[in-house]
Amino acid sequence: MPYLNVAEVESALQVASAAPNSAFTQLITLPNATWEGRTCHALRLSTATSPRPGIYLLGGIHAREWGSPDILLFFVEQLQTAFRTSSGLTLGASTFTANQVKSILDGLELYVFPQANPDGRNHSFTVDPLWRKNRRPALAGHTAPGCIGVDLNRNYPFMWHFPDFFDPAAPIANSVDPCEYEVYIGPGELSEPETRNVVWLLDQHPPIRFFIDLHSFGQDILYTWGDDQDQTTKPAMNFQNPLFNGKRGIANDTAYREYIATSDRATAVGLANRMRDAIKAVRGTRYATKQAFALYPTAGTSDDYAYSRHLTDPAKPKIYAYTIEWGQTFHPPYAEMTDIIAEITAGLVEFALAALITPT
Amino acid sequence: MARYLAAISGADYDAMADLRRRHNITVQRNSVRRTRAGGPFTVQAILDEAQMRDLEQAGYQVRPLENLDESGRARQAEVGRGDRYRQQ
Repeated sequence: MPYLNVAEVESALQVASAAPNSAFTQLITLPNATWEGRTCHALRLSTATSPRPGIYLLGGIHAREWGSPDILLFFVEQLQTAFRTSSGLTLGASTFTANQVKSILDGLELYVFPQANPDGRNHSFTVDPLWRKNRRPALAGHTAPGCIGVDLNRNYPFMWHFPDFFDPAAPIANSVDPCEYEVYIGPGELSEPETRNVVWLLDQHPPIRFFIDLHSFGQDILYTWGDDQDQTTKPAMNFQNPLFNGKRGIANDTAYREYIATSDRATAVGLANRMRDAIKAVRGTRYATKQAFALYPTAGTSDDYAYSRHLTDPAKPKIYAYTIEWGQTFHPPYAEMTDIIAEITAGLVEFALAALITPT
Repeated sequence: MARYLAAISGADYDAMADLRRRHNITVQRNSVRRTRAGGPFTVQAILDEAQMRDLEQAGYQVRPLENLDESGRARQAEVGRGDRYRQQ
């Protein structure tokens, strides 16, 4: 059983939204075609006819992290089959009941966008297995292969132009060099059609309260923030305060740490731990719950952007946001990937059950 | 030149930060670990052979873990052909 290729992911979405699933699964067409002219799709799964808290599951942002679309499509297919047949789910040593499955589809709205960077993924499949970025054409006069593309997970509007915000000595994992092979931030925030699609889905569906971006690798579940270490005592010390420009991103200093409310941090960690424990229940694999910032800060990432929206615009709802780094390599042999798919699916199902009882 | 996943060890925060600041290495940022309290750090990164030599000359310990070009090419053979969903 091989990895799903780019066309297969899109076909799978068409199948998932057709009969016999169409009563509770709708196909969403994303408005921005990619640089190579591909149109992307997502799914909404719910039986609810009035708004419910939404969970947004994103995959395929980084091209070489092949298994994320496979995970999300398996998750969809498993939920759909279990719901239609009023049966439970068995994933390794882990089980979920039919009532649990029904409660997810009755009580939540699931938005699944499995393949947000099909151009990059296709390039990784067919040319360079280590390709990470999208396929934005290189600037005129820049001919090296690495001058193509933008790191989509550095292109979101969260301190996007990092030199304006961070300490010059911060070892930030971002770059303004358009020929940087891995982490070029792009010529502007949300410059890329792929990131505009991700944000469009958020903007179009205000009930979304939870966001998970699937990546590899590391066996980690990461919660906000990624730009600096969390702190819960100084609300004015935050990413919007220009007094701290030039001070962010140095580990273990006293000049700056990123504010997060105590209750938000506790909720974020609690939900992550539910996922962690559910993943372990499948075949014993240990994932670590940790803050996204370790030693190397980032800016412009999806999870920080998603959580920051209610802080930059109080009219927007709060979204608890995560990155899951699955597996121990970018693209494992598919036999191993099959086991990873099962355990991450269990983690996502458990997250959904936890989300049902999380105040939003 | 082949690219490897490699583990890089450095003595302290500044050594690890310099991987980005001075050597422009794109690390797998969440792989950073401290082997013991107060001990050296390690982090994984994608390096070619020239980068590995440069880092060793700069005082880091570098241990190649996997030839990513080799494994990536092998893995490309595990990508589906055609469209299994259109056959349904």
